[in-house]
Amino acid sequence: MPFPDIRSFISALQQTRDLVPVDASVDWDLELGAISRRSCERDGPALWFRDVQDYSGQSVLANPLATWRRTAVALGLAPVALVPEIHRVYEERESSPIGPVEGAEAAFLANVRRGEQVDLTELIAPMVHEGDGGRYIGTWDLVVSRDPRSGWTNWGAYRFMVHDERTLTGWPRSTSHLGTVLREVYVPRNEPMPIAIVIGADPLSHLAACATYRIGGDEAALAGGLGRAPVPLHRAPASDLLVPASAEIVISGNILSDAVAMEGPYGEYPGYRTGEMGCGILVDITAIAFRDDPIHTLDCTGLKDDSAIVTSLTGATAVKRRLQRHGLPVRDVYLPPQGAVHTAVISVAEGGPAVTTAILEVLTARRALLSKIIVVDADVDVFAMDEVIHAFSTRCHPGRGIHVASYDGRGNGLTPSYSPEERRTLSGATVAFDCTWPPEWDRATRVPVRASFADTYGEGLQQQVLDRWSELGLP
Amino acid sequence: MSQAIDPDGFDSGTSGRCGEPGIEICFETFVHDPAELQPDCELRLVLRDLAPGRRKYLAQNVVARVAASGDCPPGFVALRVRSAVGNELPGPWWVQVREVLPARLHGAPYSSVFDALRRTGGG
Repeated sequence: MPFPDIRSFISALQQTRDLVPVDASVDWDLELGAISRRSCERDGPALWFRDVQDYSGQSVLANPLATWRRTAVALGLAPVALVPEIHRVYEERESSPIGPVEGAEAAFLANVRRGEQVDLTELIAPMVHEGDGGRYIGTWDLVVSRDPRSGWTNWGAYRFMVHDERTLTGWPRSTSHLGTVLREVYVPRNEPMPIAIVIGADPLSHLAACATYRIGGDEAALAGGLGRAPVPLHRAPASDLLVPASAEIVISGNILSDAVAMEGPYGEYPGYRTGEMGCGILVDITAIAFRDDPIHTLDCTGLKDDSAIVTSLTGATAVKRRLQRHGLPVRDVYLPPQGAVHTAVISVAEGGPAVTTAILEVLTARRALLSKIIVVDADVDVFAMDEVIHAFSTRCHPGRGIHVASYDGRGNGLTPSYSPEERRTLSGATVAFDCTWPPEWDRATRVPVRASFADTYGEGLQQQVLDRWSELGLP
Repeated sequence: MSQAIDPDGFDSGTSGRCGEPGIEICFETFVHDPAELQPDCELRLVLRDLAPGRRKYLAQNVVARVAASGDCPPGFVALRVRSAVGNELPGPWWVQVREVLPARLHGAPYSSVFDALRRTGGG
């Protein structure tokens, strides 16, 4: 495990100059969020707010993994690791999970509040964006839940808002793994669903919780695989759920099957506040526990936030594996973080309308969170957006190259271009842009030749130019 | 079951125009449609307390009356109204809390809080 807890990760980010400690006093009410949002949009460093008004002794780490550099550091790579290298390492380690270990000591038990002692206002919950429905304590969190049918323990990352001293409300998608178990198991039984909300665990546990990972998958083992060492777990307070022992804060509670309270609206990861409010879940908090001087974590959601980077990385691997399972000739997948998990670029060994529509069908068969799919030939580097936009602009036939799949009940309830009714009913559509040359076009006589340095000059001349580049005074 | 009103917690005695210097906005509410805020009617609302400090933004479900123009009516306090996408709607708005409802409303997960509020007793 490169970093056993958030504190060692903070130290590492300070050494690589990817984190700035902020010692000036900052208001949790919008100011902290505004600073964090601007920093995120400028690809700035993580921010560690060490003097938060009203909360002496507590601090907030904002945007821990919102750049590729910080994600590389979390994985134990050099901060300058290139994006394809980070993808390759993630893909390799994702296939070698290492199960967690139990029984470790847990520093979060230093301060425990149970039952009537619970007061969520004791903990920092920033008012993140002006116009949000309330203070969000769960943004960069890790939520542990269990499916009692199989015993499967799920880790996810879901938003949670402070409703009152002992109540959180949240909006895990109804089609999320947690939402699915809640709807299919606990609600029909009219039983409360126990959960534990973890804040400030080691960075790879949070990455695993936020990852696009198969239902039934063990995210604790995924985190162990990513760190190449087991994640130590400990029981959450007043709960039999196991949480990372490295947690700074643990909040135990039950999602009630027969009660609701106001949640939202909230400025979400697509970069908009789309208006979903008053349609979430209610969590009755039974206990909170936290380390001395606890460090909170904030994903200041919006353009290029933590979830954009993590889902770009993990979603690409998930998409690639899924397409491979269906026998499609996928080479590489990239979900550009600027695309807010709505756009995927997929390169294939051989394209054409049949392959493109098959990709579209596979990626909209269950949960259809992507709304734009760009299919390119393997000569296009999916990680190089110049090449992708060039291919999209020049190879996608504006009449024959665009394929659309519409669906109900499995769309993305946060897609800003959808109407409120579409978002409510999870209806929508995904478009696939076929930016590949038609397979029947002869490569030698018909496929246009790219007028690029790499494609139109012989290897000898290319090498000659490279050798003379400096001599010619070129940067 | 409705809870007893706590007048000390709701009636600040503020009067004047919302937004004027010295007029403290006490509560915030979110609506899908401002037409829902019918004056002279008893409405069921979720109010967020805007008093500074650690308890700022905590919510209460209430039965309330809303006024939408002119000076602050006696017994009312300033209210900020936001749309479903969080934009502040032009005021002034005033609110008078008549009754505090239970914090937790009966309803299944993912069901509408606004429907649950309408079904909740009080008034």
